[in-house]
Order: sequence, then C-alpha cells, then structure tokens
Amino acid sequence: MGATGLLTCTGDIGTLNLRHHIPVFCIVSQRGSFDDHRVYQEIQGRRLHAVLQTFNYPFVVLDREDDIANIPEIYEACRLHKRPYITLLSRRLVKGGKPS
Amino acid sequence: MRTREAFEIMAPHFGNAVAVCALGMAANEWWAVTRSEETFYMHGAMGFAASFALGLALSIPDTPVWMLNADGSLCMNLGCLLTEAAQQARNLRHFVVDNRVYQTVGGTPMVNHHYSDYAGIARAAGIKDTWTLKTPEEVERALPSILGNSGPSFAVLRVEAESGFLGNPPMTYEGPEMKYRFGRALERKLGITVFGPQGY
Repeated sequence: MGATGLLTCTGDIGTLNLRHHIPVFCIVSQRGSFDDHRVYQEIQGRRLHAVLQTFNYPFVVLDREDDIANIPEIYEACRLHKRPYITLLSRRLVKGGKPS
Repeated sequence: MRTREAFEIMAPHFGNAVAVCALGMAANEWWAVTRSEETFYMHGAMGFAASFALGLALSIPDTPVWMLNADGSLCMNLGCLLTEAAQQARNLRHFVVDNRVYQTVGGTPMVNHHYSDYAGIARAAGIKDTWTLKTPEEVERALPSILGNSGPSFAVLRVEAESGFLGNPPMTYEGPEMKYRFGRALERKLGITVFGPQGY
C-alpha cells in the first residue's frame, strides 16, 4: 500500500493487530519524502514517521536495491514483535533510482 | 425473530466450521449460545471482522468459516463485500445480524435503516448466493442450502432490536488471550501449526 492507505487504516490495525498482538507485515511506499515532489503527498511525508512512532509501530526504511534482501529478516522480526511492522520503500527505490 | 433464536437454530449446524464474530451483540450472543473456543470474538476493530474472516477462509480453504457480522459493523466497512466477491472463497459464509440499531450504545438507529438492503448490496457487489431471513422458520429452511452451496454466501438475519445489552463481553478473554485461545483451537482442530516453537 501507499503511505496514505497506511494512515487511513492506522485505527484499524491499532484496534485489531495492536490490541490482540497479531503481527501484520506492511510494505508501504513512502510518499512525500524529499525526492517526491507531488504536492498531495507532502503532509504524508512530514507526519508519517511521527504517527508510526506515536502508535509504537516499528518501522524501517529501505532505500537501496540491496536492502530488499533484508525483507525476510524484517518479516521474522514482525512475528517476534507481535504487532504491525512497517517496511517503507523509499520513493527512489520504487522508481528504480529515477527522479520522481 | 431474536438474535438468540437465530443463533440457537444455527449452532447445531456449526459442525467442523470455525467462526469470526464482530464485536458487540453478535459476539455476545454467539458465546452465550455456543461457548465456542473455535470462534474469534472481536473486541475492537469495528468493521474489520469481515476482512479477518476472509483472510482466515483463504488460508484454510478446506474448513468452513462463518462470519457472524452485524449491520453496524458491516456498514463500517462495506468495501469488504467487493473483496469477498473478488476472492470467491467457497468456504466463507457471511451472516449479518441486522437489527437496524447500534444496540450496544443504547439503540441509536442505523443510518438509512428504512431502505438499506444488505443482501441487495452484496448481490450487486458480485456475491451470487444471498439471503434475507426474517423468521426462525426461514432460517431453519434456508440453512441447509446456505451451508451446502459453494460459497461465498451472504445471509442477512433480520432480527428485533432489543433494549437490553451486556455492557461487557461475557467472555473474559483479553485481546492477546483471545488470539492464543483461537490459534491453539485451530492447531488442535486442524492439525496445523499457528505458533512456532517459541510461541509466536
């Protein structure tokens, strides 16, 4: 999903997954970062990390192709933490290193 | 028809199924009738029991999965019907307790309750096997077809709004305990591994 989708369902994954300690592994495209010049993504870029920290959802940012190999380990960490665990894909990574 | 009456008719047909209950009266009444440990009783996430049940149905395709939803919860996440129709889980049976009020908060009327046709909405979304059942006799007659047909199916249980409500869920399981009890019940029933050797 995208950052907007994640922000839309924070309450749901909070009351289902956080409350019941059910891990859910989310791969999310990180919108609104410095390399993403869409005006409608700006607020997501500024506040997404803060919202995740508020809910105490662990998150990591993957920025390079080599980082993708870490996904199985991140998934295992998600199961261990028993909560939503967010893997953010940088705009640059999603776009294959090309400008947004 | 009262919710309890409908569930008392349905319970003997539960057989080898597992269930997911939306929070509120659906969960309370199903627990009161069955004391089923093979049911996940949602404590929160209003609206998302249906998504949870669909995921469960897809992951255990040989086991019937009953979704015991409520009209208030369904309307929190009507989009679930599109996903259900798209996924076509043949083992999913989606029941909606339709009392046209938010009973657990004292009976506040459901929006548009004079006109809403949930079976019609489900049918238009692409779920072919839909039902609206208004009496115990209709439930009794329809159940063999609902359970015998290939799913997904969607059945509205049109029930009376009741004034009394249980302020707290009758089962005493807190969130994580609910997860472990249900997961362990699935392990026993299906012979599968839900939790690994370290308990997660």
